[in-house]
Amino acid sequence: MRTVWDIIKSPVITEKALVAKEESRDGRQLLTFRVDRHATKPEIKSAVERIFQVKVDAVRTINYMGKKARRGRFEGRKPSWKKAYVTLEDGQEPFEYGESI
Amino acid sequence: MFMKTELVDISPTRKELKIEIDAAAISTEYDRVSDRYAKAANVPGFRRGHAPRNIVRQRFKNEIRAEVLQHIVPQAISAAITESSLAVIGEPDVRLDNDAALDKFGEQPIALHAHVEVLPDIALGQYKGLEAARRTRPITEEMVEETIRELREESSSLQPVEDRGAQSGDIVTVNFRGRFIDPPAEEDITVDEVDVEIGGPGVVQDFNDHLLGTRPDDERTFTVKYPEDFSSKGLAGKEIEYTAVVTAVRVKEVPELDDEWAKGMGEKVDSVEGLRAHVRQNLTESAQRESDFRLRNELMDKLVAAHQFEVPTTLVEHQTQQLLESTVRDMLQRGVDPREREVNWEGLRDMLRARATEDLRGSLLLERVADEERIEVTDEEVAAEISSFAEATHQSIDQVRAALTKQGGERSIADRLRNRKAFDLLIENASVRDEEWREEEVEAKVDETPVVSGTSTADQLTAESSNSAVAGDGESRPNE
Repeated sequence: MRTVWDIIKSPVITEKALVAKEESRDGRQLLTFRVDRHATKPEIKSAVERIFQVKVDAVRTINYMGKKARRGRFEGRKPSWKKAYVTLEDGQEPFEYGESI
Repeated sequence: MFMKTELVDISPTRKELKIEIDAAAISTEYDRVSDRYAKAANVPGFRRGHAPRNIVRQRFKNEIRAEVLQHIVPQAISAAITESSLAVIGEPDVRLDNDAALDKFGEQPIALHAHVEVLPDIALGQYKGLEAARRTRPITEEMVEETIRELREESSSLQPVEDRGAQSGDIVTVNFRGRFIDPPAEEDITVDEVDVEIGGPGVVQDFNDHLLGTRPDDERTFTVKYPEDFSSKGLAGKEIEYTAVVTAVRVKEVPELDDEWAKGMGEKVDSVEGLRAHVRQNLTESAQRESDFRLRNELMDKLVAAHQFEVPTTLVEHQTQQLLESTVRDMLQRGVDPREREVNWEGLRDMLRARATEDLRGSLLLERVADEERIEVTDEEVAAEISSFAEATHQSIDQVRAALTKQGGERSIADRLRNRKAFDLLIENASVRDEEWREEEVEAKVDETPVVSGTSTADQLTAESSNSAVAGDGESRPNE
């Protein structure tokens, strides 16, 4: 059975993501997650709301092509993945990813 | 201050320090360490040094926590020690009390307790006017003659005998071949160049009988039946057929007691009378030293017996270890390998521990006396001690100093001098009466004194080995 945990895989914690979170232009918090490649925006929205008990305003997604990888003469790809930028509604508690994921 | 402390007495030498470090102090230190980590940390997704503090903390939780504790705990303990003005010996034994504070690091105060050992407060009782007897061994004419006889014996030389067969008292040098008859054994015994003193101590009678009257190049064959209780186990109870080839017969020539020989014995000696006086003087001096030594021991025993107090375990263990090491060194020096011998290490350790405790009692008491009397050691005295040590060991003063500084020993020399002075004071103030020399009591006493009992341990340990070494093949003394 697919659960919310299958949709949201892990938070993306990078410099870029943290900058986006702390300094989003309109003061709303912007979270970033690695999500299932086939998850839709509404699915992501409800999953984040259920897991973190927050109100989500909007979801934007982007597909990343897996990087090319080569083992000797065999060329392949790392798995492709989808990233979701989740904008929270105004006036939410400051969000911490915590160690939950 | 950044902490609260509380001192609990457990025993005269053990104290417990209860310490609570304020949360603020911890969080300051926590931030400091975290920032240092953040500066260098490599975290995926971030350029080096650009990861924020909380992420670095998450990632290096244990490392940072350990470092903070390592820094702040010893600081707290030494502060607590200074605050309570304890003279601590050894390392404190530290336990953290609330593990919960570790999870919410930097938010809660950390409670810990440390067990430390301190020197006991010694209530100094009577240390002046201790009673002791000085007994000096009287030097008799016989003792002087005996010593001179030994000297002659030592300077005796072996002269080859040509015109007669070996007599009792002669030294016969023999090459032996021994064949085991009962029980038979594959290996023969082959020993060359053995010196046998005919009729000498420890020589098996059979050898005396068969070697009597031999001349160089003589060959004798005879069987020897060793008694069951023979000292060398490999031979006890066995019957062996020996073929002995005599290579030399020599006689021991003891020099005549005359002025000529006496002159050779010392630079300042020019006659037999002079030698006698010299020997007498030496004996007197050593008797003096002996009685002095015994007097010191007696005083020390009395002082220690009059003051019972607890000795810190750390010190006792340390001292025991040292004694044990020196015992082993002693054994090695005599060519005994303790690993090959069955040594009752536990028993030995217990024995040495008892001795270490007494030794420490003594030196702690002397220190206390030195404090009481305000005995100081000047730099000049230390320097004098160092130079006399340098002279005794044929090193330059600088060498000795360098070696000492490396071991932090200049202090220890000062301490030793201070104790010695305290001891001298003890003796000056003791009421010493001169008494008759009593032989038998001395023997009993010598056994008890700690210094001597140490050597006797080693003796017990090595007794068997030295026996078999000397009488290795049962028939002879070692080559000379």
